[in-house]
Parts: sequence; structure tokens; C-alpha cells
Amino acid sequence: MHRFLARRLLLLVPIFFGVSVLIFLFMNLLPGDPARILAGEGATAEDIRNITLKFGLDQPLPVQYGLFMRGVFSGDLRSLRTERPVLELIFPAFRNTIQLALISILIAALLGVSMGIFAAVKRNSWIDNLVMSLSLFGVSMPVFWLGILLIILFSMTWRLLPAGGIGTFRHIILPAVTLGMATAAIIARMTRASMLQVLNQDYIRTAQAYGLSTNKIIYKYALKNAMIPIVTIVGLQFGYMLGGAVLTESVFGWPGVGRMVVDSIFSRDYTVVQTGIMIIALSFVLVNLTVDITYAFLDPRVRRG
Amino acid sequence: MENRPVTEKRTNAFWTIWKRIVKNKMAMIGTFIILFFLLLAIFAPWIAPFNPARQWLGEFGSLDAPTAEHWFGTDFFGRDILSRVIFGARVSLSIASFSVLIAVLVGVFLGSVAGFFGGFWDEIIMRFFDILLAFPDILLAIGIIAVLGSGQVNIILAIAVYSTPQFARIARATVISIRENEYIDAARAVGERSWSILARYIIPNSIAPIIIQASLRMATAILSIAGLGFLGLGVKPPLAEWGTDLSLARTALQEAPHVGIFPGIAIFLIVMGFNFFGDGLNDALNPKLKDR
Repeated sequence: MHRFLARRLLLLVPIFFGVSVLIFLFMNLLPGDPARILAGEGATAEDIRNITLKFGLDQPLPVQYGLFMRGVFSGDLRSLRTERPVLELIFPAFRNTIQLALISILIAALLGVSMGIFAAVKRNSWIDNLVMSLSLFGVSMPVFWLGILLIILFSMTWRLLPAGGIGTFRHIILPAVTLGMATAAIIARMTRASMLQVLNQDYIRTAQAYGLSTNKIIYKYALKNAMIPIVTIVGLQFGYMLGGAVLTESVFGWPGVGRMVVDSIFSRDYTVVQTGIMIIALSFVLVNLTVDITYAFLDPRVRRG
Repeated sequence: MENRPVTEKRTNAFWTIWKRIVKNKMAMIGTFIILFFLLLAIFAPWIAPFNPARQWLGEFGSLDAPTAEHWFGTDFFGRDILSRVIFGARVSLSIASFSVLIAVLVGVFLGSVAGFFGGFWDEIIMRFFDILLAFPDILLAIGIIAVLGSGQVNIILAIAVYSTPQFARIARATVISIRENEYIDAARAVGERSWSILARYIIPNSIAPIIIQASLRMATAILSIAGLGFLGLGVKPPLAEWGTDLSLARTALQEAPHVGIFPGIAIFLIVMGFNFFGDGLNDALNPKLKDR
């Protein structure tokens, strides 16, 4: 297990490095002089020269990369608009995104796992067909359109829930359902597939032959093994939500990090864009790593293999 | 002469696959939906009642509810929504097809090279794709658009970039599983070159999983195009694009909820079409997996 952990953690190094290099190059890929962009509009020649010196933009690329990374984590890298340290802006937004993603994944997991089990147990029945059709609808639904439909129904027609903003629990319900629906569909499909595979195995047939009740077989024996791939998919989907929430955040005016990145593209606040994308990508990688390790804990074959 | 049996066998294989697809209800529903939108896209100028950019100001105002003349009503700028939905099929299908095509070509090529030659190239290519996969896909597209700016060509590139690793992974896995077969050894033994083996035997054998993935990726691509449009990073106005139109609709939901309905139905249906087709194809080509 230690060797497995060490290997996985070691693999993280090149990915982290690659992601940060790619993000660093982002500035150099923008059309125009990076110093001029960083200095913002209406900057004087002296401002531009100061920026060039500060970020070492006259230095070779590897040195620039080092200065950039130091800037991000020391708080030296500032927003081009508000001049506040970028991390100070991004962390509260990131917290909002995590909050939204956590509630969404909870809804998605509860809904998806129960529907998946139901479909697998009643395989080939009308319930199974219904669940599978609903899940295909779910993955085909554009998330922002679902958001709009929910706003039309719940905020405008029935006036039950707020259409946007943040603050109380009522504010999070519509965005969380919107973000969680497609994930619920994916989890339902995965759960069904995983349960069917387990239910086809010999030990389940043996349990049936012993005359154990269906409920006991499903919940005590089958679900335990079926859960391994389900936990994996739930974890991966949570990681995906950190970046994928941008559309939901945009529909409901949820002040998350994805929306901050998009807003910053429009205001040409490139340091925020850069750092925001980097933070999301790095946390996505970390979540995936955690999922991998959890998987190994749950399934001893993986860590020994 | 010696090639004939092989050709016949291949034709039969295609015929068998086709028969399986026709028998699969989901794949057929998907095919019909895709064909429907394809026809809309191709014949848009003849089918659409109006020019999608034409603005009605005056007797018909903006945000009109559906009428006999404007079946889906008009949008904020007084443009005919039905015509915009029809023309929108052109934009979505063309951008999605080009981006998936680029992703297939580049991904299959690099993935096959990585799988076939292994070693150094495998490490370099696949580690690079691992880095790309570290970005949630819509975020990668947003980042690329931030650098390149919006516009059709840049959207095609952005979507192609994040779709490529998927195809590379599939191609690599298939190549590795085929590489060890005896007929590949035989080809090597009679002196066939690596590139020729790759092109003649290995790539054709990985076509089925690639087609399935391409269909599912078309669905994702269409969702991303609409998503970028919705965020204001999509095609430039006044080009009709479903996501951009929905973004505009959001500002007028209170007075005219109908503007938020029709472009969404179009995205939903076509994405469902590609998902049905891809899923059905998967069942038809991998009958063993059907119940899993």
C-alpha cells in the first residue's frame, strides 16, 4: 500500500508541473506584449517597465515561470482590476463553488444510487426502462437550459424559490439540483451496471440457493461490492463539478470561481483567469488522486496489482 | 486473387454490424434524430420561413408570443425564433463535426503511435494528454477561448483540443491489445514496415470503439458549443446559435418565457440523438456488454 501511495503521489509531480507550465504559457500565448497586458489599459511606459522588471519578463522563460509561481503563492500576483492579491479574490469564490458542488453531489448520489439499484433489481421491467430513459434524458439536458426551466417553474410561476443570489439554504436548492441532475443520471447508469455485474456472480446465486431474502442479498451482499465503482464515479464527478459548475453559476448568479474566471475574461483581468483556472485544475487532479487512493483501499486487488 | 476472401469477409462484417444497428431501437431513434437535424442544417435557407437575422420592429414587436406567422414567437431583437432554431442546427453541427473530426484524426494518430511504438514516445504523448485531462473540459475550452478569442474557428480548436485525449486513449488501448496478435507477427515476419502494419491492420481494427466515442463526443461538443455561447464566449452575433440565443433569452424570461424554451429543446433533442446513437451502437457492436 505504501508503494502504491508513493507511486501515485510521485505521478502527481509531473502533472502539477505540466498544468502550471501550461497555465504560465497562457500569458505568453495571448496576442500582444504580456507586460502591456499585465499593466492594464492606460498604463504609462514606466508602468510597463516596472511590470517587466517585477515579473522578470525580460528574463528567460524558465526564470519567468519560477517568478510567476512565486507570485501566485506569495500573494504578489495581483488582480489587474482591483489590485488585490489574486488568491485573496479566488479563495472565497472557490469556497462557494465547493459548497455548491458538495450539495449537488449529495443530491446526485442519493438519487442516482437509489434509482440505479432499483433499475438493476427490476431489470428489464418498465421501471428499469423508465430509469434508463430518464438517465439518457438527464445526460442530454444542457445544464443551463435546465436551470432556465427551473427558474421559469419554481421562481416565476410558483414563486417558491429565489432565481439567483446566495445567502440562505433556499438559494442553493435550484443551482444544486441543476448541477446535480446530469451527474445523478451518470451515477444511476453506473450503479445499475455495477449492480447487474455483481448480481450475476456465483456467490449471489449461492445466497439465493440458501434461501436468503432478496433484500438481505441486495443490501448486505451485493451492494457492498457494487459500491466500489460507484464511489469512484461519485468522486470523479465531484472533481469535475469544481470546473463544470461554471454554467450553473452563470445561470443563477452564484459567485463561484468558474463565474469569476469568465467575468475576468471579459474584464481582461488575466491574472485572475490564469490563477482561477490553475486552482480548479490542480484541485481536480487532487480529487482524482483521492478517488484513486480510496479505490485502492476499497479494492485490495488494485493496490497489489 | 489472394485478397478476395479477405474483402468478402470484410463486407460481411460491415453487413453484420449494419444489421445489428438496424435491429437496435435506440440506435435507430438516434439515427432519425440526427438525420432530421442534418436535413434542417443542409436545407435551412429553404425550410426556415425568414432570414434568421431579420428584425421585426413595428407591427410585430420584440418578444412576441408564438403566432401563425412566427410559430415560435420572436426574440428580444424581434427576430423569428423558428428560423433561428433551424439555422442554429447549421452552426452547432458544423462546429461539432469539424472539432470531433480533428480530435479523431489527431487522437487516433498519436494514440496509435504511442501504443504501437511504446517506450519514449508513449510516455511523452500520454503524459501530455494526462495534463490536458487535468482540466475539466469546459474549463479548458474557456481558457483556450480566453487566449484565442471567440469565433467559429477558435471554438472548433478549443473543443478539438479537449476531445483529442479521449480518442488517443482508445486508440492506444486497442493498438496494444492488437499488437500482440499472431497476424501482426506474421506481417512483421514477411518484412512489412511498422507504419504499414499500423495503417493496414491496426487502425482499421480500432474503428468500432472510435465511432462509438465519436458519436458520444458529438453530443458533448454540441453541449460545449451551446455552453460557450451561453457564457458569451461563442460565435459572433448575429449568427444564429442556440446557446447564445438562450443567454439572450435569460434577460427576458420574466416577460417572455417562450424565448427560453425552443433553442433548449433543439439542443436537448440533438444531444439525445447522438447519445442514443452512440449507446445503441455500443450495444450493437458489443452485444456481450449489453446487460452491463
